[in-house]
Amino acid sequence: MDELLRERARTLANRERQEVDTGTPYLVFLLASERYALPLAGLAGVVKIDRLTAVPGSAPELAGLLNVRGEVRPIYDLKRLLGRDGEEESWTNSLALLTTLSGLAIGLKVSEVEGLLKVSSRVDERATSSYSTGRTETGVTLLDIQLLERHPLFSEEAS
Amino acid sequence: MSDLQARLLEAFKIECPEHLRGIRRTLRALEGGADSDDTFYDILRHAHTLKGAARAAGLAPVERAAHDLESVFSAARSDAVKPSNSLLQAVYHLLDLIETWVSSDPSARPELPEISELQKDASRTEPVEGRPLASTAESSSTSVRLSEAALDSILLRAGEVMTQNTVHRADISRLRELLKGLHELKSSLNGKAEESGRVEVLETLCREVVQEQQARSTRFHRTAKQLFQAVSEARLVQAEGVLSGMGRMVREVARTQGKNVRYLELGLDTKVDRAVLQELKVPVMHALRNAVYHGIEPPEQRVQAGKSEIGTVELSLQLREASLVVTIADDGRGLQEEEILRKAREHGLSGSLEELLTSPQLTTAEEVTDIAGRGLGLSVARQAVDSLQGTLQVSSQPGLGSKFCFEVPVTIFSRLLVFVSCLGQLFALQGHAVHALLEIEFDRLETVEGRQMLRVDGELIPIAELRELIAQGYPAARQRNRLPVVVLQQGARKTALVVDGFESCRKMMIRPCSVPGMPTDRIAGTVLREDGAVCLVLSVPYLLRRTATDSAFTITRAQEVSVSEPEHDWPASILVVDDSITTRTLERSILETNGYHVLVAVDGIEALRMLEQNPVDLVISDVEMPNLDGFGLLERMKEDQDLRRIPVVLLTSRRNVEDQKKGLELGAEAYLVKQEFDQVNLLETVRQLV
Repeated sequence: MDELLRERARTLANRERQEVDTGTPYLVFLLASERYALPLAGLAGVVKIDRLTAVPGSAPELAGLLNVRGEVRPIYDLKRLLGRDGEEESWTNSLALLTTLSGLAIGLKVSEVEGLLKVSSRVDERATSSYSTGRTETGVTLLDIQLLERHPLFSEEAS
Repeated sequence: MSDLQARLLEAFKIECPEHLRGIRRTLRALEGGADSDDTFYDILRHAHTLKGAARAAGLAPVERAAHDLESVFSAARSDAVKPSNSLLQAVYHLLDLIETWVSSDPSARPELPEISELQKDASRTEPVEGRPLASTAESSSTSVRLSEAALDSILLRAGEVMTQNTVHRADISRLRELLKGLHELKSSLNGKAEESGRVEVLETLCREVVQEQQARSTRFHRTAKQLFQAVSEARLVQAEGVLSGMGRMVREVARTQGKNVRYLELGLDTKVDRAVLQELKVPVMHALRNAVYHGIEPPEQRVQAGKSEIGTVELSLQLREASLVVTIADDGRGLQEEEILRKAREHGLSGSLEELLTSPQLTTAEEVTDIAGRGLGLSVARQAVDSLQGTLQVSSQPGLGSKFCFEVPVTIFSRLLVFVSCLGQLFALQGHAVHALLEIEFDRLETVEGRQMLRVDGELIPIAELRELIAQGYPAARQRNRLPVVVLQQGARKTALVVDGFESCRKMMIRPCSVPGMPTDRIAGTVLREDGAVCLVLSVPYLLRRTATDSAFTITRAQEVSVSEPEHDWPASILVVDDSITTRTLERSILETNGYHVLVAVDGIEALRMLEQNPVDLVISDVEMPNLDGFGLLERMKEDQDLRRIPVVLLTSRRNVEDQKKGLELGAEAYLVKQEFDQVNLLETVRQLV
């Protein structure tokens, strides 16, 4: 009986480990001091924001235009997109996560990149904002690119 | 269906959605409360062009519907009445029906009822039926050819590859300096065999690297240039492909007008950039239609005037250097200049004949018909020509005919841009709209009816601060009361803008940039500068509109006027060309200390490249240099239309009368000998020349 239970515990433990190993890889980053993550599969790279051209009269979410390997890309302020634009911070040393939103190559401005995290299905699924799919035990808010596409800035037909 | 018909239809299918989108966008603006004349004008312009395009493609129902749209908004515009919601809904409905009609099989096309009927329906069956999803209309498109955007993108990258090579060459120049330094170091180590030997090894290594890189750069440049040319040529198409539907339109207009017209086409095999042709298509269409409608007289009148019963309308295309000249000529009654001027006075307009003819407020048609007569045609032409940075000339002889001549660049690849600084950032303005760059004293501003104005060429024009136009709430912190001013002009409208400074003029390619959150009304696009920075191109129509309508701008006097203003506010730029780093450094420091802006180049080739990219007021060049010497540089400059007028001072160690004579014969303004070279001498020469 003991043997049987041990065997079962081993199998369960294995399954647990497997789940961790096969979890979806996310890139964890900071917005101000909060931790967020986006699925790695949707990201094309990370670049340092150097010489961002501000656009006078633009929507506040549009941080500016950046030359990314010869392409002019719009860089959006992820913090503002999420509606958390309370504290002001310097953008000089921030990074842009390169991705595609509704077919448009863009960059999302973040404060700092922390690293990779494999997320299994066991997360708190109560969404903390309309763009998140949940929150990990360690307090990382998981975001979703498809949900960001529903932001009024992107879903309204650009006029 | 004939091949031609099929092509016309195909072209229409591409063009139609653009106009529908344009009208929908403006309808949304109306719903949002916009009610300016410009808003109505926007709808009218799209409807008018759609009508013409539909006629050319032989789609009478769409043509009728577009005419209906035009009538409805023309009425709303002249009554200055905001259209009711039910009317707007009916218009949305009609646009949807047009969209479906165009994308459907001929057998399954819906009726295109009149807007008034749709309005009745709408009030009966609220809520209004939702618009079909755009995808249903677009999914029927089976076009598989290479899109223009893809071709543009390839061309853009080919251009960038060439720019990259310039950066590479600058690196090679630096390597050359290193090589030279090593050589000098070796010479100075006379007698110290061991050190000298080590430096020699480094020198050899460095020389090899320079040679390899130079060869690589040359190969790379050649390939990049070939690539660029190949892609540029791929964009060229025979004008026939785009302009071939015109004959049919001319004949149809003639038939409905009861006129006998012979239509001639010349030079339709000319190869031109497709984008240029697309842009010209509508203006050409309007000009041809006007020629038949306004120009050619009815047969009996022609006979009375002793002319042939059959009138002639001719479309001809011709290449003149880098320009395409499109001429639309007729042998009709000529322009009724008096009638035009009279109408202009009635509307309180003034300006040249071209300006009046292309003004959206003016029409000389006696009655409103579906052919012409709302005066929109030629204002559309004006816009197209402006956006292509071309010119439009109108000439006419009473009783003998009139001629419209469009001259536009063959390719739209590079545009002249004027860079100005404002708010610590560089902005570009399209060169064709820049009338003048001035520096004025604050006291030159005049106040007329509470508005600040500037007198330019005897004319009072509004003046405003650029920083206020593009970002309100940034007060100008001016140090001085001398204002750098850009005078912009489009058609008859002029405006002056105070900027923080002038930077440079350069030819570059503008990339369109309409991304979510972008204020596309005020930003016309972006350019990528050589240093990798993104620079915004400001929309000239926006700037003109804002200064004309908004009178709240004030330019304030500087708080403190600095006591000693430098003599040159916009310092003269001097290009120093010398292969010796020491001479370059020396000259640079002397000139910069005396307030000049100094650029340097290591040989004639680099100098030419820099002259291409930078405005330069004076060149001081060594004679003996690698690659291209001072004489060679001088010769090339004198052969160039633009560079010819830049004065050149030759500076050399040779005290050779023959050389001096050669230099002066080639057109050098002065010749300084290095042995006699001193600061006073150099500065005196420079002062005389700039």
